[in-house]
Amino acid sequence: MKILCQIYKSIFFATVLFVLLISCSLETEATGVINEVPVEVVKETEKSKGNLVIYSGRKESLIGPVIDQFKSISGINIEVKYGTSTEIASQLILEGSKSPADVFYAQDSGSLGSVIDMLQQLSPDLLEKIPAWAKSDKGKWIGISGRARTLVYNTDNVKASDLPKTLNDLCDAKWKGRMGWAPTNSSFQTMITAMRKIWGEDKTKAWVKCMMANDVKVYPKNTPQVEAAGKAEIDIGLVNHYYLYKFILDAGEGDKFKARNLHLESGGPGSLVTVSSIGILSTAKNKDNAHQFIDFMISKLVQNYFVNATREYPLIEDVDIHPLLTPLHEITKANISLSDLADIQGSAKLLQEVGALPK
Amino acid sequence: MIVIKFIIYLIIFLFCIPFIYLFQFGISNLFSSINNLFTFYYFQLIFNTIALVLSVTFTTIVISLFLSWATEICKLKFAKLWRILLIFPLVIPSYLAGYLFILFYGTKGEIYQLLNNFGISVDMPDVYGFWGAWLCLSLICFPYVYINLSTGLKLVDRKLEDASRVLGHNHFQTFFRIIFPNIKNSLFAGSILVALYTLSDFGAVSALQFNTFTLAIYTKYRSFDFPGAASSALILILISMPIIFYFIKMSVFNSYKISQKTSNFSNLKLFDLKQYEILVQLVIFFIVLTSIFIPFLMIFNLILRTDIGFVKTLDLIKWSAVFNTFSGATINSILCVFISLLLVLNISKKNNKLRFVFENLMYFGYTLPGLIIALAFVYFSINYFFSIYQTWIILISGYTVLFLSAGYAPVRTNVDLIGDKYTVVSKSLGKSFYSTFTNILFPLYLPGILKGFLNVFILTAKELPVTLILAPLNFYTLSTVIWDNLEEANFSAAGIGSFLLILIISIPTYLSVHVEDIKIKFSKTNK
Repeated sequence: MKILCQIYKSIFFATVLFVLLISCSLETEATGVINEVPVEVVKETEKSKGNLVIYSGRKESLIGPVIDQFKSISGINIEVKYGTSTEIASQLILEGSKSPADVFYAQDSGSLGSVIDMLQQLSPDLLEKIPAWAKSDKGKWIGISGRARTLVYNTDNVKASDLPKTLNDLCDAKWKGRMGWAPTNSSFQTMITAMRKIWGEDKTKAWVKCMMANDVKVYPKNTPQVEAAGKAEIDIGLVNHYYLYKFILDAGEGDKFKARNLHLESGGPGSLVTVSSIGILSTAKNKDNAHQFIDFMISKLVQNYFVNATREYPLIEDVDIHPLLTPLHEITKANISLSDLADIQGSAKLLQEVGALPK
Repeated sequence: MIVIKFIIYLIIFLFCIPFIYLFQFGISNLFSSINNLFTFYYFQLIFNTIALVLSVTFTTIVISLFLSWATEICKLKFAKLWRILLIFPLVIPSYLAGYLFILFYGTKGEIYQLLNNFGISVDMPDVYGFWGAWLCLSLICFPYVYINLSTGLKLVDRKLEDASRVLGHNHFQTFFRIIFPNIKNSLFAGSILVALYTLSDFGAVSALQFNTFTLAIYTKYRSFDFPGAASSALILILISMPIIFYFIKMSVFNSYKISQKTSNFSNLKLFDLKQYEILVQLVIFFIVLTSIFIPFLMIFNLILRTDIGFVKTLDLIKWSAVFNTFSGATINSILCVFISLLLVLNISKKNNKLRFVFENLMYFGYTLPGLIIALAFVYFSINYFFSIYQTWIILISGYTVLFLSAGYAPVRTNVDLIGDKYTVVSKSLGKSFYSTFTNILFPLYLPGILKGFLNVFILTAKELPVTLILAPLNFYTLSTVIWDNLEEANFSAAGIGSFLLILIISIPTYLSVHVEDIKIKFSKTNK
């Protein structure tokens, strides 16, 4: 009897805990209003019911609040699938015409480029709001927020006079063993694509080779590089601009976090600005809702949210950038259209040939 | 009987899905890229992978032999506490473990900062590469072997030990000559899990940048090289084949040699360490420190990094994630244990060939990267079974294919140890199979069942790639929450997610150790 008693006791406790967990889950559902933004009066569109399925390569912690807001404004029942942009793209390719997805929102334009045959033409009223450099030349996707390629450098170890001016300066022997990059990262690979367009294959290959000869440290993605630059684990990292500000703001007042961004001069690939981008699948069942959602994403409200929550660049006019950022027009954008940068596979192949990526 | 047969073939079919997918997409590329196989680069990749697998497996075996000897055979204070704590390294998902590892041991990590504060400036060894990956994976994987070994030790007939001591062997001679051969089976069952986990791990090797085959496969997917990834996965299968064959052969081979007498718990005689106990305690403490306390400390460090406060960060966590993690893991582990029992009891003795084929298949499920399994299931259900796409059913099927072997191993070890004499006796007494099972076999199989349940529960709760791809829409688990926030550098939310994950996993961990202890007490008092 004793054993039964003990077992029951344990099961009882487990059950109590379980019930507690469930009750918690019922209480606090659907939090998260866009609270960092002074909420403007948003017109209540008439409650058009219906569904919308979003595949998102951007994280829930980031765009969850935006989606909740849209849900409450539009009354549309929204279902989201989160994942890594490239993995979702490969899933979409497998799903083919049976895909349940209506909208694909990806971290980069390359992921949308890889499924471009599955996307439908966006309507002109969406397209015209976005500048030409930040949308597909076929009108199949548009950018939602801009992210600049930068160098992040440690302010203790790199003097202002020492700062490189172009990517080629990084080949200098004085940077040996002091740099980091993330060759598997899709933004990095997009930059390589831009390099191939601007410099040509041979010069790009030579650059990658000289970076490797300079003992560049490999990181899995951007954030660990920014963190490493702050701790002086590396002195220079090749990253997107916006991760840094999170670390600076998290570290609190003063210059506790010892890294800053450097925008490279000239219209070279080092000053490329990429975009997170969105498109509607041609097999979508809820095209009107999808259109409405994209329209919401490029509204002032959401663009402001991106400015404050992620410190990315807004892509519509009349929205100010975050005070910590360098204005977009001061970064001489690489002289290239993002639609030409869809060939990520070619860049991956180049990186493989040189040995920067596994074959 | 026909139902059981149907279920068995259905399960075998489930395990074939990834292979069908891989052959369809990878085989043509495999032949076109076969010359790649003989390049220096590939040689290095294969060498890296095998070196990591062997070294991690060997290290975990050494650690676990010591730990299970200390906690199960020796008279040791806090043995129950250690037994519970030593399971906890499993709790930490490997992508998180890699990150925490860098935070602590990195060139500018916490150790460096600490020493720096005392005015000592040292160059920390580089954590990136082989040494980091080896240490990090060894520290999070050893409990797989430890759990199996301690279960095995409980089941060894301890009268053998008495006999050995009477015949003049000392304690250690007895352990290595008498006890060890009897737990070899468990050793293989546990170390195959470690070997294959290392082979299929993405998180830790990616954070610590050690180039293995699995990392190469993921990298190929990320650059949209699908056929290349599929053909690499086929090569991964080829690499793992000898490992799996070896382990299965060894454990099947051994299962005939082990003492078929069941353990008599009342017979437990603990070895007195005398003055060496403090030394043993210290070593155990050191292992617990590096594999549990330090990661947990780093998790709290993450939580405290931003100053928005614990409660506010707690709000950031979706509570449905807690519920999904718990229920997904529970359902899957019950299912896996149930399937394992079904398989072991139905195909073990009668059909050795089927058993051999099945066990191999099962371990391949565990070897393949989760991404491949998930995409294979996407492909399968989109084309042939659309109604289950993005439902719990397909998610659980994916989990089952991934982790069945982790539940199967301890169950099979246990069933093999017990043998079928009880069934025969019970049958001759006219009892039905059902009543034999519930009254006699189930209690005897309980240690294995519990360990199997625990293994699968932990693995499922921290699983990431399959969850991301196969889950229903609007579905979150703690693992996806941690990943999400870690990627976005929301460190405190990631820390809280990890903390909750640990809490959830500690429930079955505690219960399984607890129930086993009750069982031991019970059999003692019954004597």
